[in-house]
Amino acid sequence: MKVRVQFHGILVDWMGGSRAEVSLSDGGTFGELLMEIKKGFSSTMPPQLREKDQETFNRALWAMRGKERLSELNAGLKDGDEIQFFLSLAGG
Amino acid sequence: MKGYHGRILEVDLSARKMTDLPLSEDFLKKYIGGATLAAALVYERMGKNGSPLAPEKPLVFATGPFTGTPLPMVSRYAVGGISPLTGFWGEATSGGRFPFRLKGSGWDGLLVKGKADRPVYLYLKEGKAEIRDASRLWGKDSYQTQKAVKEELKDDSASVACIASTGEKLIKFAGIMNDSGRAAGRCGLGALMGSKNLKAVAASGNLRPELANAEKVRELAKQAVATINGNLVSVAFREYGTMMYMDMAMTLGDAPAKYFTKAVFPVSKITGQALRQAYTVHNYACLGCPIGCGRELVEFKPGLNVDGPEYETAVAFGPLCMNTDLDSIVRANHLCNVHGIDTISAGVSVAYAFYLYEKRVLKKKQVGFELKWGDGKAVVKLVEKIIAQKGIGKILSQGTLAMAKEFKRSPDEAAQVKGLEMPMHDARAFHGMALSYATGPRGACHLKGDYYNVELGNMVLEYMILPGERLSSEGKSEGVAKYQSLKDLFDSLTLCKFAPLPPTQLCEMLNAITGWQFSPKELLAAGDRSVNIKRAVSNKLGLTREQDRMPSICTAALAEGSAAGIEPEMEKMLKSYYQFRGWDWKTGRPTKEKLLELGLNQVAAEMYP
Repeated sequence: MKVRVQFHGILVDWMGGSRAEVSLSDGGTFGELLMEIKKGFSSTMPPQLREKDQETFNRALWAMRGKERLSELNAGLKDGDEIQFFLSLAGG
Repeated sequence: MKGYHGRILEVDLSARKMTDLPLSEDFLKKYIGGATLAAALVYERMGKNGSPLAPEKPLVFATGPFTGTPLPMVSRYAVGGISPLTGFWGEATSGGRFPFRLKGSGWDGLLVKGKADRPVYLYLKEGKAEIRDASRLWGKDSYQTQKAVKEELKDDSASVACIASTGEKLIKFAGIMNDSGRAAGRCGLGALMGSKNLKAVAASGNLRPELANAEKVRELAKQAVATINGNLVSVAFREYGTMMYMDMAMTLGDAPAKYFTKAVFPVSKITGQALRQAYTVHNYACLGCPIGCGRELVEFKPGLNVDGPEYETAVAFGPLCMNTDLDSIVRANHLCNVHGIDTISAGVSVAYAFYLYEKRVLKKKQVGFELKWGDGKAVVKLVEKIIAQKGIGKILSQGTLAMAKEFKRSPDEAAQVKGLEMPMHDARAFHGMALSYATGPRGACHLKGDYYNVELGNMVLEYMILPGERLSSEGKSEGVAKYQSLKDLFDSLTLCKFAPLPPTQLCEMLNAITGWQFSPKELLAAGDRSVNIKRAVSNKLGLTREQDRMPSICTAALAEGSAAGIEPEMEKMLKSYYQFRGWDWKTGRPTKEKLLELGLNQVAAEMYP
């Protein structure tokens, strides 16, 4: 199945574009999507985008499916889902 | 005493007299510095009655123990007094170079009272102070003033904090500008300077108080720089400034649009990236800051560099007015900086004018031109009218509460708390912010408890300030109160709000500078004391629970956006907040027990004779 991903803000720079399509196996999860993103974009991501262990993403990375925030790694995705990624960093 | 000069310069402009006001170590341990020190000094000297602009009312500029040390992100100062905009406690802070120079002049700050018989400015340099004639500076804008003062003093290392003509004209949201476009913008403290005929304060020098453990401070500074640079927020702010939050804010329903009646707006033309694409952008950093979140737009016009707008300003002149014209936002921001007015109060008042025009309350003949939502040129024209005090601009310059009164509208339509205009984090998107705005020490303020940051995941584990459900009013009170106290402390220590440093690290820094032994628990108690001394100032001026109130224009459920259909439950949150704070539900005052617990015995004795 294919999931559409949209990056916002500074993530556009780090991911090299605002949109991407990610292929996952049928019944894929949010955790698998994150793994694919890590694999696909690790060379352009700053180290601060990952936690100290460098394995998991920084908790400031927010993913939204419509109005729903995705945070559980085992959350199921379906073909055609559009996931928006933001950095939850604010100030000023 | 370590970390402080232990003295404030007290200036009586009526008598043209300057004296040293000694600060005892006990006093400093209690009030730390910055805005809290200012509040304690104002409380003692404010009297009970009279206009905020009366000559006898004090105005305090204060640095803190962190200012001027090798620590990063500590070039901050606070200004405090009675706000001409709200009539209650008012404070504003700013960065740049001025704070280092003020501390380097040999005083921890200055307290100004009285009124000069003609325009003057103060020059503080390494233990010497002068009152100098400013007649030829009167009428100059803030950039011209800073330049002219430095030229006259022939002191390139001096830094200048000043007012523009708006402060001279006592515009209620006139701010104090330093180091080009750095602003102590909120609460109208520029009008306080104007009321005293005080055009500017120039500070110079490198006198640094001895540190209790200088080696430890240097080590902590290195650690702090590493913490700051390792934090994602530093990377993002460095790249795009505070405007980098724009699209996330809109997605969360956090950026208000159409004068707080909408939360959906196309922001792609006014993001941090859009700014970089449209202009040549340089970063601006306050002295000793490794981030550099400020923006400078090079050659905005031939030969003219301007400051880039911050997130707050970009939303206030952008979505709040339904305006996507980035150029007009930059122009409005530049006008506010050059002429020294608060961009939040100005932007919200301008947006209210558009709202009133749509409601046919304001007519074309009153305004002089049409006000159609989204017209960037009209936004700029209204700002010009405020600055020039022409036509409708005179009314807008009083702020939204006065506008509502003038046009016989409900005060619930005025987007403010205690008279201070609402910042650009929508209370419906983060219910904790609604509570923070309602109870903040200076009115609606996004810095005295930026609780949206907690809800976005920036928890403070040492104080158990944890994120919850942002669209719920349940369980907010304790976290909001503690977070307000913590953030109030930042303005006592004089530390930038963007410094991602935990309380333990702050304690280590304070202790290494002063030789004190503050624990995180005692530090939080100092934050509580800070909130309560400011509350006491406002209570003395007549503040009751009635003023801890959000206007319905900012809480009524929206029809669209991420927070659609939900309203913060103010009464419920306020009740439990009051209980946690130890404030009296009937009077809105801190209880006697709370004041005594915080060591505010003099306040307790006066409040409960």
